[in-house]
Amino acid sequence: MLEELERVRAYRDDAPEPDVATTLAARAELLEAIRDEPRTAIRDEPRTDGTSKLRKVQRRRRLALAGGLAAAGVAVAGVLGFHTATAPQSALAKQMNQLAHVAAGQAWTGIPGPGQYLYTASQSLTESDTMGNGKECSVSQVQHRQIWIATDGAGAIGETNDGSQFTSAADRAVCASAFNITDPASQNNSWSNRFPAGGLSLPTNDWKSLSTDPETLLKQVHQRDGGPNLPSEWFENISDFMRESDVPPAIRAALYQATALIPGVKLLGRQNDPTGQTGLGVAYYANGQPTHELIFDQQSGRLLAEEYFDKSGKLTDWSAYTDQKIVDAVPNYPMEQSGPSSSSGTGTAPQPGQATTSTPTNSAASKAPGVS
Amino acid sequence: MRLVPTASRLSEDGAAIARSLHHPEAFANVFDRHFAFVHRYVARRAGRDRADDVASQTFTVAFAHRGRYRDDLGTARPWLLGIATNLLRAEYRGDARAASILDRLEGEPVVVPSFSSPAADASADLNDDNRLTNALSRIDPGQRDALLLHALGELSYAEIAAALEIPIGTVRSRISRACAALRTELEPPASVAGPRRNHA
Repeated sequence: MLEELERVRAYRDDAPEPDVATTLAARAELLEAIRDEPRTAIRDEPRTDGTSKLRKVQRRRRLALAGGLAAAGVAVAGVLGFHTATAPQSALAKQMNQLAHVAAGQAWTGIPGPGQYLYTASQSLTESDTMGNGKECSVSQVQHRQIWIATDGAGAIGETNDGSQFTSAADRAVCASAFNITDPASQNNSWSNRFPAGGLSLPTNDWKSLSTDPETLLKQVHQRDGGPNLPSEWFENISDFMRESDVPPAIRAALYQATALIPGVKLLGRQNDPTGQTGLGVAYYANGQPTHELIFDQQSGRLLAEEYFDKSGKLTDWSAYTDQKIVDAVPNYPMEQSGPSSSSGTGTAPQPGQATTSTPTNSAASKAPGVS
Repeated sequence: MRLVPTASRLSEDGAAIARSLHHPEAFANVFDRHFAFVHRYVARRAGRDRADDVASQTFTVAFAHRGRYRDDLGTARPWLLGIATNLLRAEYRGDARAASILDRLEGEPVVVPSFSSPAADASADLNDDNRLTNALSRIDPGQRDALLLHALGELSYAEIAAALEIPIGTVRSRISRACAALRTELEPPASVAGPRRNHA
């Protein structure tokens, strides 16, 4: 991956800066727009380009609920016919089958009713690399994210970012010596936004078209999600499908079974994620090292966390999904924003919504910074 | 409840944009700080000719929608690059002729706008860029946007997530996929006939 990034970084590197005439022409165009703007009509639309940028939000999850879904109320797994006939019997398959049974036995409480939202809270750690002249250093940052999605796609997203930190003492030294980076942008910050109907989406609009046969479902999920037709990508497709989602129990059950069908996937047993949640871990392995791990709650079958590793097996990035439930409303946060939002200390700390029904959640959720 | 931040907590961009809500001419400060970078980002993606128009339009669009700017990242650059990226996508979607040409060119090398002197056009670097252009044209647009915002726009994953309003996990997987797709596309000709990207 680094090789490709280096190559793209050098792409058309000889492109010149704009000349003075170009800059002045663009500036004049902006000043004309400034002069033409009615002083009383500051547009407050979140659109930036006149196209449907909002529909780009959660593109992978752009799966607005079908009309029948909202009316479905509570559905049980048996409606779709839980698949059990062809399950292999490796240790991995047995564990995934157990998870599948857990999921299949659950009522589908994931459907937000009228006026309700599917609420998901998560934390993520991401490393950012700086490289050049054969040297590389990295910093990491934790993000706390909350999302509320209604069946009509209305909802909100709120995120708080912790300050960046050097990933290690060695990274600190390389960043300082090779790139003169001594302070990796250490300020905390947060943002929030509300979305009108259609702005967000739930991933299960066409759940009736999805198979409960694990092998068929794996192909369907890959076709929907795209990417190279490789086992590593199939594993990624499954995790894509389960993030911040309301996948019906029968489909969820088949997804667990499909995971066991992917070559290179290994059972890791009970695992702790970086936020302290414990669950059943499975990982995709390449060249003898795990590259991507998923951790599932064995009581609910919910995706608790995913972790990414580098070639040496070192954990680099992770996301932990600390809470998921149906709530009655988006709380006062996120709030309306009429202008630029401040970066900290303005009362925008995320607050969880009011729960009315809840999928089983791990107690560690309450420990998650930014959620409590 | 409306959020009214104090100016002292805003970045330079945030302060300029906040001021521009009542004094629109203050938005020119944002232009002065970022136009050259945005222009070069677009030029590297789409060529100099389109860069003039798209970069200029980026700032008029940003100005019109400045009421929704959020200053959490301490710089307007991710927001502006996100707008530029959307404009490039919108322009592409709206350009049926270009799409038709691209369809016809599927499997053929894509013509690369040159930034070099004619003498340099034969250089190995440009040939390398040609191959990369061809490869980039074949990967999923969402993956390509994330990759180019990272590699050319110099944005972090968090900044890309904010610019495109997608989760960091999605940024991560899009960039990873884009790199994997590039690797496949840039393989020697014998291997090029492998799986093609899904242009959903």
